[in-house]
Amino acid sequence: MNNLQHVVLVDDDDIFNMLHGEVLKRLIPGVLIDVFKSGQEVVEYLEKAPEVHIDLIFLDIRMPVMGGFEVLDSMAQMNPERFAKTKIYVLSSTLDDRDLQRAKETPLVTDFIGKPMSFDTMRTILDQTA
Amino acid sequence: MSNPLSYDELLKHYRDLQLRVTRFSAIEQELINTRDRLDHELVLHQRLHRYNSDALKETNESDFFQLQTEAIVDVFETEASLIIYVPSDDRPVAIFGEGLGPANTPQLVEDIKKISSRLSPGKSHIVKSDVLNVFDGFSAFDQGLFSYFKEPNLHYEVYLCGLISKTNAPLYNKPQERHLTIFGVFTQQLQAMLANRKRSEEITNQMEQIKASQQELRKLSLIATRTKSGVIIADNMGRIEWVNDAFTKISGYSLEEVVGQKPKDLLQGPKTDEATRQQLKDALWNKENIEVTVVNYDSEGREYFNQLEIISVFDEDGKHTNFIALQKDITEETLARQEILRMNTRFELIAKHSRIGTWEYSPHDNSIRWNDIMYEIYGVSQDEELSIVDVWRNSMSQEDYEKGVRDMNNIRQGDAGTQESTFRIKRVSDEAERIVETLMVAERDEQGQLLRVVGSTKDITEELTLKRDRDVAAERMVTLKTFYESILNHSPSQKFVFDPEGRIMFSSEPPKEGSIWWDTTSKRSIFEVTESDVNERTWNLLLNIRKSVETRQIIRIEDEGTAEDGTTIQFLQSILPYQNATGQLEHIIVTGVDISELIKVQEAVSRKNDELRKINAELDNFVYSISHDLRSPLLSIKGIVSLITHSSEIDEKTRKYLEMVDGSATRLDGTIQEILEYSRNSRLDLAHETFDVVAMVQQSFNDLRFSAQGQMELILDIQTDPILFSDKSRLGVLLKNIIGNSVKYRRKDVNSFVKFTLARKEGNLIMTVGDNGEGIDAQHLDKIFTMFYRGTTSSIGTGLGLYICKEIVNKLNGDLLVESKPGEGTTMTITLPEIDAHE
Repeated sequence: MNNLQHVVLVDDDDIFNMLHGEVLKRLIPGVLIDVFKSGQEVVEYLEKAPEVHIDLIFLDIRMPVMGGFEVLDSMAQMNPERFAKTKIYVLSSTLDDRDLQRAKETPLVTDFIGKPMSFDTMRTILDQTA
Repeated sequence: MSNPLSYDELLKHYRDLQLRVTRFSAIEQELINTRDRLDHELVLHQRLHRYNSDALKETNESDFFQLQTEAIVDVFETEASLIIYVPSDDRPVAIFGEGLGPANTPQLVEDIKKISSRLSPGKSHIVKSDVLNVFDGFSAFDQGLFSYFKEPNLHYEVYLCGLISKTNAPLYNKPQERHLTIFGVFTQQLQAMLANRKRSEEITNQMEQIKASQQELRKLSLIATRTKSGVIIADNMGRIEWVNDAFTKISGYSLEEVVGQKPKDLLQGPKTDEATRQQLKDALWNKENIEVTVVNYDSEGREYFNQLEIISVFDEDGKHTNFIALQKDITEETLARQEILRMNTRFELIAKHSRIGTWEYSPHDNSIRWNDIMYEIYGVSQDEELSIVDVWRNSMSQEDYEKGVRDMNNIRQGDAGTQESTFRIKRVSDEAERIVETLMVAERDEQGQLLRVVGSTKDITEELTLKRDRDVAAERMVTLKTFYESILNHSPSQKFVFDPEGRIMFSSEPPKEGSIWWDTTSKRSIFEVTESDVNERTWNLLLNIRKSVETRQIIRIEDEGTAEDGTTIQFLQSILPYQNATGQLEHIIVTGVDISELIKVQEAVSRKNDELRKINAELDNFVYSISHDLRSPLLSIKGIVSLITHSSEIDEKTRKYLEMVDGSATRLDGTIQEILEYSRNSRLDLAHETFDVVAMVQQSFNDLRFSAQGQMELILDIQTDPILFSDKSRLGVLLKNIIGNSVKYRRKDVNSFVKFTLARKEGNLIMTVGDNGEGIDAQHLDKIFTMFYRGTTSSIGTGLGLYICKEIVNKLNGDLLVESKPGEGTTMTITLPEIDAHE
């Protein structure tokens, strides 16, 4: 059904990571899912493994120490070719319009998705990514 | 000696002698007869002569004729006589002598005319019984003498006859030749006498007429002499024969000077109207009467208006003999009339320009006349041919109408000389209520009889309003003056007023040591002051005053002065070049205010503001963080529930419980969101931007649709440009809440829909969100916008949603209306004033 191979989930809340992971696994069995619990972790990962291709990143905004937008700022400093084929979705339970606005204005971001991501939403995203 | 005669001879002589005697006696008889006849004729002539002399003396006509009939009987010894006189008017008069009476007059007249028609006029005839028998009137008679004559010039006829009857004939001499001759003479004499009488009658009449005309003439000439009008009598060629004294007085020409001249050569001059000149010429030529007013000149060249009447005089034979001209100097009247006309025109002009309507009421035919302005005041067109009385009557209330009638009656009866009133009328053209002021005056003749009522009417609505406004303004000005004076007197500022030349006119306080310098004693102009004359602060201020006067701009400068106790004071100096309405500089006003305290306060406020701004931002972040932190666990609960429900291993009961958990979580999430929205709406300023409202509606609907189980349709009816300039975030919350309600309270038994419409009307944006959902009971309808009001206990809402909607609409200066019918659906109408993005 889908040839997605590598998905990265970034959220400080384990439950969401588990939830989104479960949904993904059910929809794309055998997909590689890397989970990071903070912005720092994922930035470190991306810096250490510059050659790894990621198909899809789900990035939470509000996280302690380093939030989603800071992660996106760091990614913007990296090789611009690297995320050309990577879809990045910003995930949040925020109600702050400013967050939405900022997400839309960030070139790397594909779209903003409110939490929790439902099966339907995930299906739509996967269809678009394929 | 002769021989004795024989017998025979003797017999012969005797017989011869006898024959002679017989012949002689016959001659003798003849002679006797002739003598007798002549004697008779003589008698007849004598009688006739006697009668004639009597007749000539007779003055009365009927007595004259009576005498004549008697003469026929007496002179001609007839049995009866008759004269028929037919005058010019053809009413025959019969005059009877003896032997005939008036019993059968018409028959006699007719018969005598018929008999006479066979006879020669002017001659006498003997008519015998063979003729007389034919006519009833005369059949009793045996013989008659007849004659008649006609006077062609005097138009009368006379028929005469003397008659002898059959029975009495032997007693009378039958008419003979001699009668015939005398009757002829009688007839001729009668004719002559009658003619004479007629002529003398005529002469008498003429004499009387002449006498009468002489009297008339005397009277006329008396009038002509005495009248104040100038009289000219001219011959048929128009040459003056006579003028009266009045003419001399008017024209300055005496009779001697003008006799034989033509009036036009004397009187006409350069200003004499050419058309009138021609008119006069034509009238004289055609011998017609004429009446004109003409400009004439007197002997000294003074011009005067002459009212001239020329009468042509003809004699009895219709021959033109004279012209009579009557002239009257009407210069004063004419000038007065022209002045009146000029004044009238001027008055009408004034009335028209000052918008005064004038009118005239004529009591003779009960009519009213209006000028143009009246029609405008009452708002009717003159072309419509409306009755003025009706228009007037219908334009006002019963009360005002009665007042108008009362006023008019007062004027008519002379109770009031003038009457002034104010009426309220309804103008026909636009039904506007107007106030008019009317002044009416009665015009009466010398006997005090009412000629007409004239009046003026003016629409004073605007005037009244203006006056009222002026009064209000004046009152307000007094209040303001007091107000400003009190401000001036109590304000802590220093004030200095200079005239345009820079000399001080007013100073609120004397100059102090170390403060600004003004020379109040010598009144030196501040424009003459040089830099070395004053301290630095004053110099700086003076430079700015010069600049302000040059540019005519208000200049404000802040500077520092030193107070008496040595502390520094901050001043705000304001320079106002005060100009009047025509832009001329009238005063230079310099105001200095100690703003040391103000600056301190300002700084404090500014600091406070910064702090508040910071706190507000922190609060905003805090609210977001809190809501985020509150939602996160909730949303993870929802996620897990969703995950579990998607696995097939759970039973129905568990699924139902899980749905309840999800429902509660959703509600709690809703509450958090609404609290946030409420807090943001009340706390944050409006922020307008441009966006597509339809896209917003579609987004909201799509976001909400997933929470709804089953299908729901969004219907769009967009009548106008969907790009709005509004507070996007608030409008988003508003639409999300309302559409959310439609989704929440949809009916599951029908194909449910949400319909969104957008229109613009009279500067408003009108949006409706309608559905075919459950609807709202009438009892709840007026409470749904109340905080925490919930229609049912089973409601899944918080009771905040519509309250927030109402608050948002209020914040946007709009209006939110709800229409609903249970079981049919609800429509919410949002009306927002549209704001121009460029303002």
